[in-house]
This record gives sequence, C-alpha cells and structure tokens, in this order.
Amino acid sequence: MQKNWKVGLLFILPALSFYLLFLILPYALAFGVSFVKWRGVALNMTFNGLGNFTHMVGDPNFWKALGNTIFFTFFTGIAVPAMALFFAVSVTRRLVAGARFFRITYFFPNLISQVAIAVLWWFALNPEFGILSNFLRLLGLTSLPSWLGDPAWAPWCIVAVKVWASMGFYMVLYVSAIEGIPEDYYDAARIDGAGEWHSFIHITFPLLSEMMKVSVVFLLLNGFGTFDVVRIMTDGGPDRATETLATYIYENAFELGKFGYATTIAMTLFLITFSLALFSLWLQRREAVEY
Amino acid sequence: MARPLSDLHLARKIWIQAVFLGYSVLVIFPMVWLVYTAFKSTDEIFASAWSLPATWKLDNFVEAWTEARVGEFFWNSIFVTVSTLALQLFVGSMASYSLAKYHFRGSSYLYYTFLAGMMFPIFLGLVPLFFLLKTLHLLDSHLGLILVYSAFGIPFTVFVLTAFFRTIPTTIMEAGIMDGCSHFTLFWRVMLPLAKPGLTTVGIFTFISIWNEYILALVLLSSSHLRTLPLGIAVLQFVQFYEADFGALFAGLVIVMLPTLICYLILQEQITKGITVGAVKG
Repeated sequence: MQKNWKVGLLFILPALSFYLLFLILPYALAFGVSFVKWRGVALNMTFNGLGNFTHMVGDPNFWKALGNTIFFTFFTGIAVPAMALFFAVSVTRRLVAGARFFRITYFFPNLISQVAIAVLWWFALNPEFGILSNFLRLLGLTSLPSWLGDPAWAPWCIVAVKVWASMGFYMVLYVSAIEGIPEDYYDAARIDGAGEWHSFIHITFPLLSEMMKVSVVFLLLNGFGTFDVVRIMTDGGPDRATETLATYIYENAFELGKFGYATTIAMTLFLITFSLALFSLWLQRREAVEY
Repeated sequence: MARPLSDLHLARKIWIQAVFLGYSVLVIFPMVWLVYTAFKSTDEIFASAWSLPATWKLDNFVEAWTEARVGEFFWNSIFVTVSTLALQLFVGSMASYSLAKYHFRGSSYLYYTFLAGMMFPIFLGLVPLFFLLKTLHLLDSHLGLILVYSAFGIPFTVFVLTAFFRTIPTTIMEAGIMDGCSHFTLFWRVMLPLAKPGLTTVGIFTFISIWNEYILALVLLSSSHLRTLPLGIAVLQFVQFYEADFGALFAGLVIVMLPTLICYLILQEQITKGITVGAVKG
C-alpha cells in the first residue's frame, strides 16, 4: 500500500474532473432547475417555487404517463424474473437438453440496440405486412387488431417487446447464482427423497435471494426509464396510451422547450425510482440465507 | 453433457423442452426474418411477409450504405465508440489503480462518490447536460458526446477495476519501486498489463452499450453528418415509412446488429462472466 497522497490524487484527478463536470454537476443543477420556469433562453429563468410541481399535479398527461410507466414496470417486473427463473433453473438443473445452445441464444436480444429491436418489432407488428398478423391469418383468424395502432393493445405490445429485449440478461444472472450453489446440497436433498420442486423451494430459491434483490433494483430502474422502445414504436401514442415519464420528459424539454417543467418531472421520476428501490431492498431485508 | 438429465417424468421433460424450443423460435426467428428480408425488394416485402427473396441481391445494402448514409453513420459510431473506450479506460484505470493501491485520507469517500453515479436516472441530468455542453461549445460535436459517454462510464469502470487491482499483490509494486520505477511507469508497464482481464470485461461492456446508445446521442447531436448508427436508423425508419421503401431500412438494421452479435459469439464466455461480476458487487 502506497501512502504518497499527492501521487495517488494525481492518478484520480483526470477521472474525477470528468465525472464531476459531466455527471455530478448536471445532476446537482437538476435540483435547482426543477424549481424554475425556463424556456431555454439563457438567463430568462424565473424562480417558480413549487409552481412546477403544482402544475404537474394538475397535468392529466403527467398522470397518464406515470400510470403507463408503472404498468410497464409492473408487468415486465413480473414476467421477466418469472421466465428467467424458470429458464435458469431448467438449464442449470439439467431438466432440458441443449442447455448451452439456449443459454447463448436467449442472450442475443441484449446485444442489439434498443432502437433496432424497436424498429424490428414495429415492422413485425404491422397489421398488414408484419409477421404476427400474417401468422395469425394463417391460423384462420380474421378481424385482428392493429396492435400498435390500438390503444388497448399497444401497451401490451410494449411490455412484450421489453420482455423479449431483456429476459436473457436476467437468465444469465440467475444461472450464475445457481451455479454458485454447491452440488452437495442437491445430492443431500435427493438422498432425503426430495424432488426437483422441493429442491427449488428449499435450496435454489432461498439461496438466490441476493441476486433477486439486485435484479428487482435493475428492473425498477429499467422500467421507470422506458424510452427507446416507446419512442421508436409508438412515440407515446395512440392517444398517449403508451406515453411514459421518460418520453414525456423528452417531449416537454426538447420538443416544447419547457426545460424547467421537464426537469421537475425528471426529479419526480428520480424520487419515485429511488424510494421504490430503497423500499424493495427494505422489504427483502431479512438476512441472506446461508446454509 | 456431463451428467444425465434429471429424473423428471417424461411428460414433464417433453413439456419443458417444448417451452424452450418455442422461446428460442421467438428469439431467433424475428432476427432470421430480418436478415433475409434485407435481401428482398420493397415490392417483395409488401407482397409476402414470409417468402424468401427471389434473388439474393445486395442492392438494399448498397442503397443503405451510400444513399441512406448508413456507411457514414457506421464510421461515426466506430469513431465515437473507440474514442470513448480509449478515454474511459485510460482515466478510469488510473483512478481505480490509485483507489486500490494508494492509501490517503478521503480515498474511500472518493470511491463511493464514483459509485454514486450509478444511482441516478439519465433523464434527471438530461436538460442541465444539454445546456452545460451548449455553454462549453461542445453541443452537436463528437467530442462532447465522447466526453459525456466517458464520464457516464466511469462509475462502472472504477467499480470493476478497483476490485481487480485489489487482487494484484502489493509486493509487485514494492519490487518495482525498489528498482527505481517512476509511479507512472509502474502503473503503465507493470500494473496495467496485469489488469488485462478486468480491462477486457469493462471494454466489452462499454463497446456494447456505447454502440447501442440512443438517448444521449439524440439530445446532444443535431447535425445529420454527425449521427451515430442508432440515431441514423431511427431517422431512417421515419423517412422510409413515408417513402414506403423498406429494403434499405432492413439492411441498415442488419448493419447495426452485426458487430455486437459477432463480438458476443467470439467473447461469449467473458461477457457471461462480466455480467456476474457487475451484478454481484453492484
């Protein structure tokens, strides 16, 4: 261990200055900007106190966007861990043949740009020449919805695409956690006559709790930040049926020039995500299980 | 496979196998469909969603690369990604090395200050960042984007590499100092090569995330000749939709997807390990 603090600091300084300037400073400024009325003209900022917040509370589009964001986060947050857990357990407990192939291919969507995924599915979901509608017509179904053009279907399409895009990542997380569990536990359980289901309930699931915590926080951050897929596939439509907080922030700031108001919504987004993350860690606070 | 399949009931095994095959079709088929559709003419695309191209011509790729300017966007993406990688790994590894091996008052606070950056949603900083870059005359330039990308990558870099440098024995440093190495030579010639596996992990993840990044590029770049690939594809979607010409769009999508998929197929083991490293300690 070196005690020469001058040299030590010198090594840190370049990274620190970048980090403070381009990351910490903008976040710090955001706290101030959310209290001003500001349309982007340099010094034309007027202090608005909590005015932005009261405006937000009375803005039906904000509530619509918040509702949709919660909807997306909730349903991806249920579907992704459930599917990832099923796949991860089956692959590691050798319940399926060709495990290596599935482990590799299921991760593919995580490598592709969200923009490309969104364009791909935007086309695949086209009611006329997309593959989904064509496939269903082959099965003899008629009077199909227009998917992304239908306010009732569009939110579910976004959920499905988000699940498609992210499931593989969580599967890899769980696989690596399960692989860390000593095989002896399962052998002992088998000798005691436990089946796969009992092994899962009494060994795999409790020992996965740390990874579950991590993945819940990831899913919260990811769900509340939903932007790329919505922006490309529906741009928040039809009739704001898929508008999220993130797309609404972008619209207010960079299309309508309401920079102060956009930052107020962003601050709300941050406070919600942060407190939900803390809350979920608190809910799962019981001591990590160690056998 | 080393061991036999588990002793589940045959019916249940078949059921699980079917679910796995079904999901792999759901993952792979859209991508395969995308690739062969990229070889079809727009007329063929409209005529039938499923059919293979009548002739496998590269016309769409040529049109995408030249007329739709995907080639230009591709080189922009390469430039931005490579520059970000170099800058972020250089400053990030120096900081990590110091945090792991130099002990001075406040250094652990600095470590947590760096990690704190991972907690904030990007949307919170977006508006101030836009005006900060405007003030610094870095808006609408690759340089500005590279600086911002590097800053946003520093928390993850510091997190992984500090852990990595800590595992390298301090005796190696002491031997270097006895031999009269300067502090920087010691870092550059001795410690950095030893940290290569950590650098590879961070490098792969940075490459994938910067190559695919959309929102920061969307906000910080406005000139069309500066566009990165995701930005270019998003505009192309819009333009081609109104011109009802989808061939080049599909070719463009294939071009964005290929580099990261190839990278994965080559470095699959490291990527899988890297995800675990990031999550276990995050």
